[in-house]
Amino acid sequence: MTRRPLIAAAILIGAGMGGFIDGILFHQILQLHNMLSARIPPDTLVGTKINMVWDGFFHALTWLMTAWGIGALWRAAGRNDVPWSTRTFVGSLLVGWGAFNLVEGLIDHHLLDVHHVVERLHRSVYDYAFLAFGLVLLIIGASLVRAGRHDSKEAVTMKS
Amino acid sequence: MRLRKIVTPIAVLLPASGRVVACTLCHTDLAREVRASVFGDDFWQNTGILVLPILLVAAIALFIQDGGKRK
Repeated sequence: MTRRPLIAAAILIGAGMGGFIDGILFHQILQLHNMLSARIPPDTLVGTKINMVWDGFFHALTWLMTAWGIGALWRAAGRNDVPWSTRTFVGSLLVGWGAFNLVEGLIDHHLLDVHHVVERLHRSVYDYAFLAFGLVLLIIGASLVRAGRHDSKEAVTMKS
Repeated sequence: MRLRKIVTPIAVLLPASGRVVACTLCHTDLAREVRASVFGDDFWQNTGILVLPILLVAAIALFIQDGGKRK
């Protein structure tokens, strides 16, 4: 018995969907920042369009990641040695989302300074809140994954 | 009659869409400027920045899936 394929698939889906939340909510609806907004300010039509193209590349990658996760989930579903647990699945989704926020926040917001959560404030408390939110998601997700290790065997019995 | 009400505005507006400036691949000065910037000297650097976080998270997922056994 191994939960690893289910956990890995859900992490990929969670990270992909976390990327979509970032892109759709912050880049498009709230327009707080764009992919390269610290380097190319979106305050002219050309600057905005350049950032829109890079936002599109970002969404394309998060789409690929989600699709890869769905494929991995499909393969996991076909295996009899993978226990089917909602807590493991939802926990791993949160782990993926949290890991994405932490990695993306550290690299893009802090190390490389390509954009910040609220671009007009440059690096601000919101960038640290973004990291903290990612850490909270990671902790809650890991707790759920841990709790799910007990209900796995029952789920497999029901599946078979 | 109803169909004509739908088709006529589309037929009138369709040729005008060739002059629209809000497209990435069209042949306007604005589009050329955007393409020149996107695919400029820093294209690969920006691509690396874009890909790096996603690659790292994917690597974490692969590591978990294989249990660190992949060589």
